[in-house]
Amino acid sequence: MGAIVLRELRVIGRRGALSAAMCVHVALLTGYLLAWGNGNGMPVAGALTVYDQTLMVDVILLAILLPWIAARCVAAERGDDLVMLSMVTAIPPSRVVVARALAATASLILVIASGLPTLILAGRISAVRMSLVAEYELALFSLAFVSSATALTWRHVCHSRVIGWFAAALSTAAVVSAARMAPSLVIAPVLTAAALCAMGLLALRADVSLRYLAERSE
Amino acid sequence: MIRTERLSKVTGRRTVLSEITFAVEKGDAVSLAGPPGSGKSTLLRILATLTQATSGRVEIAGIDVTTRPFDARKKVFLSGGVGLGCHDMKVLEYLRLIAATRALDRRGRAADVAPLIARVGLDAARNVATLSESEQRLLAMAASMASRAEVLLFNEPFAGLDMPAIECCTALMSEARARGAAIVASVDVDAPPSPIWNRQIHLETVGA
Repeated sequence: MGAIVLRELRVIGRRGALSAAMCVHVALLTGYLLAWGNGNGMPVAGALTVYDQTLMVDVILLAILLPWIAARCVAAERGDDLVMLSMVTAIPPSRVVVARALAATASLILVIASGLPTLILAGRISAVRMSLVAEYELALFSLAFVSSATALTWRHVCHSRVIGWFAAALSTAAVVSAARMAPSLVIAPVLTAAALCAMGLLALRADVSLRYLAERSE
Repeated sequence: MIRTERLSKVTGRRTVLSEITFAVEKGDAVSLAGPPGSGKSTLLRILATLTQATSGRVEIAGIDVTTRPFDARKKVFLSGGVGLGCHDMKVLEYLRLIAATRALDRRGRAADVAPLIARVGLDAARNVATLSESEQRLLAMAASMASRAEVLLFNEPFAGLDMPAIECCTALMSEARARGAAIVASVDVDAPPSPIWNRQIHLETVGA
């Protein structure tokens, strides 16, 4: 299992999209803070503190970036290729799916964490307690579970990566909206649990749907 | 190692295999011969747990492949004609993955695959997606050896290979046989005889 997780992480790490997304995330978030960090606030959200606004922007950025990274970076095998991967490694398809989900989630957590210095800075500007900043950062990690679960689910449903990304982004956006933009420590465990359930179902289904090669390929 | 009983496979309206019964013992090297369309590849896929038989029974190392396909998969490795299962890996990583998931020693360490790569003459740093068909065949051969599976299945292992590569593959298969692996390989009807086979199973086209 460890070997297949390592393999999935290696595949994700090798793609430039992960580091590119991290750079975009940090640049846009920091750019926002530099532009509106003087206390005036963004025009449409003037009543919020600088920290709250930065957090809101972070959530929006992550809702777009995380599904894209998950859809773009995870290993390309699906269908018969996954059956073959299961055969050559003698690992059931469910474990391959779980390994993929773990690797994708770990990578997305890295992207979320890349915005932490900016959020700490925004927190200092707004005199927000460090413990509260850390709490919200932890809550943001639930988005990694949600994004990887939706991206992997759509990946198994549709052939196109672009459609998979759109669908995953919409699903993540819907979840973020339902969680009222910034998931709190109360909602985060619920989101994480729901995402883990979705991953579990996907894995269980893989053992049935990916047990044999498709008949057409014979 | 392999037992089949009245094994049949029907695809659509076509009967590909009809009531095949045979057994392969430890250390056997069996060639599957027959004209194109006689079901050689399908039989190998059924033995490799990649395709379900329509009826009949198959056991690999005492494990029923219909009821416990994932347990049987640990005992068997099929190479050739079915792809490698990975796109985003280098040759060394691919073989290391197989060794790490299938062939750990008592201390939980994977066997060193570098000597295998050297023997088949592949570049360890090449991406598997960029390999030619014959190079992929050699990689699949190395992969089957790295797996150290008890049952090794090969789909036309020598097709498209030059003589040194064929000799290398034959040597590797002989070594696997010497350590007790059972080998079954499909061969073309026109393929030259090889000293490695100790038995032959001939399949005939069943027809509609």
